[in-house]
Amino acid sequence: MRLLPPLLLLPSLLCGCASDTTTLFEVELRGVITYGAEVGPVEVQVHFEEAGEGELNHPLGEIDRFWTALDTPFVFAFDYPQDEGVGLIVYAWYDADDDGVLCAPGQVDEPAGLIVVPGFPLHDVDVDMDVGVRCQGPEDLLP
Amino acid sequence: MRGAVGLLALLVIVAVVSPAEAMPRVHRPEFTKNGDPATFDILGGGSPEGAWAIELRGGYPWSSFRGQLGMRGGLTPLVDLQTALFKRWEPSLGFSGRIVDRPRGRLSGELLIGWTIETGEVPKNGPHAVARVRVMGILGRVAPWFAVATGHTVYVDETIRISENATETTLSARHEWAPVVEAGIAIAITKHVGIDLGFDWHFVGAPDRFALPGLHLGVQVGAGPRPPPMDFAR
Repeated sequence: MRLLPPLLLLPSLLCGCASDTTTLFEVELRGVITYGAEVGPVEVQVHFEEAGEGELNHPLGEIDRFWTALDTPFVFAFDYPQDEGVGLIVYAWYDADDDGVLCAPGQVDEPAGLIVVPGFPLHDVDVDMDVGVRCQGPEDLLP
Repeated sequence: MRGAVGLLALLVIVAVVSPAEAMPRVHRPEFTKNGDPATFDILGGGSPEGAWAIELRGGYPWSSFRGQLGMRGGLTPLVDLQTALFKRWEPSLGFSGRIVDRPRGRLSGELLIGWTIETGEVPKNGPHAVARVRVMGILGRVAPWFAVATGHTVYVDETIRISENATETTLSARHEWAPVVEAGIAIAITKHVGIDLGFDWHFVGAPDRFALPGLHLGVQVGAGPRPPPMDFAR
């Protein structure tokens, strides 16, 4: 029975019948996130501008996220799945109280910011962002 | 739908007027002996040499068509088409054969290969293989039956990676397991026509995905030469 999957693979390879095709566009994101002269952890999220097709189309759609530090240059490489959406949005928020949660109740009002990357798709994307809007998720900051 | 009903009606007529009808009538116990009703051939597995049988099964969510023809040596080639809500299609070709064949019961096995095509939000297509075991008890014209199958489908995925300097294409394979449990009651109305009512449980994507059982009603039609009544002492 272990030989069955490899044997079944042969017809697909011979006929070139792929079940699913994923197109990944390599992107290298560089930049600096600032908030005045503050220093601390900042979470950066990359989103589609729009994701899904037809009735399932909606704004945003997270692709990846990572942590970096304020006022520190970063380089982040990720795969952009071209079949799932269009455009690129970079959102960041400063974790002022270092709790890993944006504006947890009773805690500090943490600043956030969002940029729509113009001219995407691009392999090299440079983003310099000054976060400053309090307690806003990416959906609130969409232009 | 009308075409399917018309085809079924035509097959019923062909079956009823076929030469096998000229076989001497047997009293009720004889009727139940192996190789007699086409319904039992379809649901119990295997057909006598030269006998054919087909089944049209409607159900929710699975419906199917199946045809088989008995060959010399007990091997029965068969064609099988299953569909789930007309969105997932599983056409197959294969062989069936009786492993144990007794007047009161039957055990058979079958092997099929084919192709899975799924449409909808997440389309899939790839080759599959199915191994099935059928067990049937024969109680006069009525025969409870049970079948278990293990189905394996392999999907080949293509990944295109576009970097600044090159575009690379790689292929990877996914295996999908789909065990199936079926059971039902077959009723031989005549030797050539019968019905079956039962449930079928297709665990597509097991063990990660769970499924609910479905119900079906099948109509079986068949004809062709039948073996002489078997000795119950066999």
